Amino acid sequence: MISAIANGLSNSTLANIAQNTTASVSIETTLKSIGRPGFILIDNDISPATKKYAAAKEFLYQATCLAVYLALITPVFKKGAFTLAKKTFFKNKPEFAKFKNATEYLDYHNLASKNITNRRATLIKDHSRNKFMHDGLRDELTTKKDPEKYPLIKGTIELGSLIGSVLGLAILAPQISHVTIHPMLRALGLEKKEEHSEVPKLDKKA
Amino acid sequence: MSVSNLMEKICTKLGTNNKPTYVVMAIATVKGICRPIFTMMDKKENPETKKYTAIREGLTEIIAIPVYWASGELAGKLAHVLAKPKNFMDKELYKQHKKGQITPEVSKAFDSAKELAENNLPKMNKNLMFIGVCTAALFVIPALCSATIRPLMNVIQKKNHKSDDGHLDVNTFDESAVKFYAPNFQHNDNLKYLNSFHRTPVGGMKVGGV
Repeated sequence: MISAIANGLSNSTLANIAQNTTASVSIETTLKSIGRPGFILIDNDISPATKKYAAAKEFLYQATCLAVYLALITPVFKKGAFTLAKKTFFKNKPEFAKFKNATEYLDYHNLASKNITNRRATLIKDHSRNKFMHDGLRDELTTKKDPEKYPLIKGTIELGSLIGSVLGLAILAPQISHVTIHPMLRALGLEKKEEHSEVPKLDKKA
Repeated sequence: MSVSNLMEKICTKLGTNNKPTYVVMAIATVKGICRPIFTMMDKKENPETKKYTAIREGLTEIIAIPVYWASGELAGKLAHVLAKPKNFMDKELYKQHKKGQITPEVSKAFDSAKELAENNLPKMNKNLMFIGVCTAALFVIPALCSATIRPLMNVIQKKNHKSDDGHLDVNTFDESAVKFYAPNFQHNDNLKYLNSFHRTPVGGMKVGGV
């Protein structure tokens, strides 16, 4: 039993997810969208109607956060951090010149994290036959047991994701959810539309 | 140190060792500051409700920051318990190794299990940290918030209520605000010997008696 747990915890894919800001934040936000409404629903001190409303509101908030995060972080901050660093902060660093963009580097990093047998098996597949044919990257992956992982590039992408995560989840998502949640709750029938008492206009002619 | 050097140092550190706790703690810190500010900026909401919601949001994140850190670090420590050669080799071979029956096969299996355990330790550490952070997000933080925020809010509300405007609230009765004293009375038997009162039966309703 413990051996099985130890083997499961040695999984490289899980370790990659754990060290990947975007993947880990997405998983945590999904878990929050289940956990928080769940705890509201099992609270016996609140009336059933309030529970339903609060749980739905919390779920919609977390779902909005996840949507904002996925729509914003990957295309903007992850890729943007690599491009910005390559052009400004680290323009003289040779490792940045080896990769065209963040996607290519992340693809390389995923392969470099695997063991050499799996790496070779992946690289001989049809869709990977012509990958990493420049700057000795393919040789690095197919011949070395521990290929260079270029931590500076990885860190740059992670820092971009971290800044994006903070901006997206702590600043942007609350603003967007503030605007969208109430119409969604009304559409679900959990909130009534505010009734404004119409003030009759002054009839100046009378 | 120039900005470029500082950036390089931070990025290399993050690229080598990006703990799952870093991002959640950063998000919780900024949320703890920004969410109450946004709530207080809402002009449509009633001031009392705004104050209550802002304090509640701030408290949630204040609880979340140390819990994320502790859950991640504690779970990560478990890696040292699990990353043992015993968990990466055949049970029979391990039993033989423990009994001291060291054959070349047992020795080889133990050495490779030891190497595997050492190689897997960083991965297990990161994975357990991630699981710890997820557990904190899913169970620990919502449970702690449910258990602690309401009593804390009650205390804060009570304090605010007392120091509101100095007027006496006659509609609600606060027992803690009123002190009840037992009368300070000592029974004295000598009173009946003072002859201050008539001991003979007094009849009628005539004022002055007799």
